[in-house]
Amino acid sequence: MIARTLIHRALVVLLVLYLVVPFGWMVVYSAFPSSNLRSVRMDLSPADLTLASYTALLSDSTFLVPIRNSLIVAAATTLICMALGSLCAYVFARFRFRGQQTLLLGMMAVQAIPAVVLAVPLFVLLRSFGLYDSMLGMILTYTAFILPLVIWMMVSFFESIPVNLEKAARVDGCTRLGIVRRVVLPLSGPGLAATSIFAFITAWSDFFLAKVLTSNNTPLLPVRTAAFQGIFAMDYTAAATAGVITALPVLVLALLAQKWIVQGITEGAVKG
Amino acid sequence: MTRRTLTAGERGDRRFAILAASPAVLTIGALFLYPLLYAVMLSLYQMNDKLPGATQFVGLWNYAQIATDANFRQALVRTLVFSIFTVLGGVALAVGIARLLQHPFRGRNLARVLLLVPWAVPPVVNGIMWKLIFDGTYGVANSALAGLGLIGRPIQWLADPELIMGVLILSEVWKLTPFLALMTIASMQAIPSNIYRAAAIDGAGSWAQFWKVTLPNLRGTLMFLLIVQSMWSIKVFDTIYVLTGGSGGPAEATTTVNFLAYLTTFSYLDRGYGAAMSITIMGIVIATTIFWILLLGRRKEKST
Amino acid sequence: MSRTTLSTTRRSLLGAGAAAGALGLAACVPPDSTTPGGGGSDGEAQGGSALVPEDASLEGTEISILDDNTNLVFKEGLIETFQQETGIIVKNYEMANFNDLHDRFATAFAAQDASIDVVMTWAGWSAEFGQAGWLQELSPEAIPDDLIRPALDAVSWDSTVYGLPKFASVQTMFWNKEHYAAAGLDPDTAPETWDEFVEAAKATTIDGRYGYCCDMGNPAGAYQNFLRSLLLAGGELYTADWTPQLDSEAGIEGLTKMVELLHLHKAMDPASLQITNASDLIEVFSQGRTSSVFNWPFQWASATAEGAVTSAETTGNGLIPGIAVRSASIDGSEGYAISTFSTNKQAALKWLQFASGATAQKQIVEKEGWFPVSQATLEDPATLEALPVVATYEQATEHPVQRYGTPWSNELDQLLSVQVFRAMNQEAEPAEALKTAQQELLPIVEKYMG
Repeated sequence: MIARTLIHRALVVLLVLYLVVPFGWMVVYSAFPSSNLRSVRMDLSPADLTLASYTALLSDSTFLVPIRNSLIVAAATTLICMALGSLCAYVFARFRFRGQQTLLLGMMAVQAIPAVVLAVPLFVLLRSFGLYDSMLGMILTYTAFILPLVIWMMVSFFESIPVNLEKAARVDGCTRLGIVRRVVLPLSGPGLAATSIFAFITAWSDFFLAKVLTSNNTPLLPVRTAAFQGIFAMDYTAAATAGVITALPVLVLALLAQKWIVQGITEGAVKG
Repeated sequence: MTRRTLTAGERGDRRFAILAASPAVLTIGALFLYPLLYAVMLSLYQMNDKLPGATQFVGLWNYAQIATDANFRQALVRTLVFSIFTVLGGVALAVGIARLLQHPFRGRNLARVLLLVPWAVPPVVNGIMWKLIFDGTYGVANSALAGLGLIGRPIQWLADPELIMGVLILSEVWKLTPFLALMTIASMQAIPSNIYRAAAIDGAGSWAQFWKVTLPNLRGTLMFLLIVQSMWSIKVFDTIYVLTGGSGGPAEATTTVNFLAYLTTFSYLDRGYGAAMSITIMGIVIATTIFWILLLGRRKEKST
Repeated sequence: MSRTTLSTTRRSLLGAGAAAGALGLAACVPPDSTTPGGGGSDGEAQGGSALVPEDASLEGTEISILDDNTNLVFKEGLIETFQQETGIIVKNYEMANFNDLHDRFATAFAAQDASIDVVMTWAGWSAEFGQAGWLQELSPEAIPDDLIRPALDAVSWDSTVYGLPKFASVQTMFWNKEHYAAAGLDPDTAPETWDEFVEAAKATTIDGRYGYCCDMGNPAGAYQNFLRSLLLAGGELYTADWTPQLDSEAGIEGLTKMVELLHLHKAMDPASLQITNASDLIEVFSQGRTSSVFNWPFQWASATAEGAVTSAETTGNGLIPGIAVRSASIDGSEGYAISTFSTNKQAALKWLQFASGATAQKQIVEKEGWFPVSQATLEDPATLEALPVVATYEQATEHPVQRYGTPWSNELDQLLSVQVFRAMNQEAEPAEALKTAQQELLPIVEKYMG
């Protein structure tokens, strides 16, 4: 019995290390001067810890602007996706109509498309509406990409809400929209939280489409971060720092809302 | 679980439904239908930007070429190897982690919370992260191994075709397994405890309970996870791009079909062929999904 | 997914599958459509006629430039100078990562985007984008007549000139004088033959530090290192009519020498096989972790910078020692070209001329350590004073300096790197590896050249 517990403990510790160490190493790397880390014997004396790399990056406008842009784009995308997606998901959850399955599957099929094939036509599409290299263009693109996911996730959550509650509200004279507002949404808290964060992370993290569809008017963070490695620009410390900064917002979001996320995933997964 | 139709016939309801659902559907349609159709059309043409005079309609010729293309075949094999490890390995690891965290113990909440770390890290950052660890000259893996006296000279993780594939698999599993684990945990919790009790009364030990009770009841979730992970594995791109500096690995070791499609379209500017490749990849993803559904889909109602 | 969803899923999927199958049968597969008209890069085929400079006033015209991030001097004042001199306004000057540039150009050009007037280019892209008809051909009147040959090659393809160079660059040998002295070698003399070089590299391989390091970690790197070795062995990559010679004697010998350096003499750092950036290589040398490299001019700037373990006194620079010839090297010049879709071509041309003109060249040489593109600047004593390694460059241009940028460069890089890797990992003999590469390359060249 004790042996079992010990093994269990050991495994849990291993798990935690496995989860945390890779990212933790990048954080450590970003907090030392690059000269300490370049020699064969890495010099990790705590006395040399410094935030110089962070100050450098965060006072560089070519790094700050992408941060701001990514924040705006991701936030706007999330809001729009949650608004449009939840409504649409509600319809799919509560109504039945012809072609429903096909439509739902079709939207999911969109997820199967590799981004590579979308690049040039999206470029052409955005350009013809004057939306190339613009925030609105990126928001629209990400919205189209993330909506299916939002819809799919929210359908599960809505289905888990007992219909009787809605029927009761209807008896009380509520309109459909009212039902959504007063009955369904309050009960979907965890689901909404989980899905929103998922949408935000997805929009924030996109690299390929951002690379192809933006230029110097609307630079986005993942592209800027990846640019720290290139033929003529190799600065591992800056890359690590950029990596930490890029991951930080979504990490903080996820950890803050972890209760909701886990709860949300719980409720959604049960229906899976 | 069956769906119930609410009292139809109310025109207000219908109007609501259409108004509520159309913005989403239309947005998706507008921004995806055109590119998708464009891609399909393009795949039916021979179009190489570097051969401007030679653009012509060739029907399914590109697809026929893909079937005999040795490069594509090799990329497919690599994708298969990669996917088998990440999908089966990832899902198995996820189940293992879920099992580890199944019963309460002190610190369990912390462990669960930490599962979110890999999930939240953007793929680009994931690539940088693992590069910092496994780089042959500056990586900490070599420093640590050397410091422990385990190796005499640095291992070139990113230069050896097999090792770099290992690194790629590790980075993907690291990133995605926690999410799978969370979903598994959630599903596990939904299994009513009286089933476990019944099994215990029947004399089943802890392991037997796991095999006979837990796993079968996870079937739906597992299928979902396998589908989703398969999709992600086939489409992996960002990590490869950053890990290999945009090149696809030493001797194309980590050039999966998706990366090959990228090279064909953007590097070789052979866009008709590249489009055909992408559509083929899409077909593979859909086929894999169907495979999992057929394999694991419920054939009769489960009495749960 | 719920049960109802599942059965409907299966049904609709099967239905869709049947429909797709029917469509597939219906679509025809026309007979052989390979080998189209050959590489049409004669000026009149695409992009219209060659650009002739006009004298009209261009006051107030705006241009947009998309450059790589190699040169900082433009942002740091040269743009100002240009605007004052010509009255043309640089609406947009963006510096993008080299790796990303190709994708951006490819997408923009494919969509016939007119918003970029001037693009950065080098030997590979001049061929690739020129062949595609995306770069504006220049007439002889637009080209200064004292441009150094390799620099001009970098902005041309198949005798069509698509742009003007902004700096010249060639690989030379850099060695660590301290390491040489410690190994008992004369620190001030570079080895002049390959055998001498191998001996020096072996002598300076001590204690886990290697005598030589290179950047073969990605397709571009593999190509460059192979090409240099082939040239050092006295060969040519292509004949006059573009027939490749990968498996020529020179090619095989060159590759064999590299393999031997790694496995037989054990003087090459194994990390070379995963170094993907010239910048990484620069770091390795500047931090004293290798004794010699063949690298681009900015190695000098890095080796003499603050924070480097090396310094001007301890860094040697000379010609790359040859295998069958005295020396040879590869070219890395860069330049600017005008987009065919630009609506401000005359103004763009002014930028090209400015960048290759004396004012800009002086700064590029003095502040950034690149080599000048014009004979005049090269021979100017002030240049030699500002950049001593220019002396080596002058010598280097007396030996073969090539890059062979072609429209199929990307495909070649990729397939060649696979074979070079096999050879370097001793999975195949160099002869066999190069023969395979040659076989794979022939149909590709045929496709583009007809």
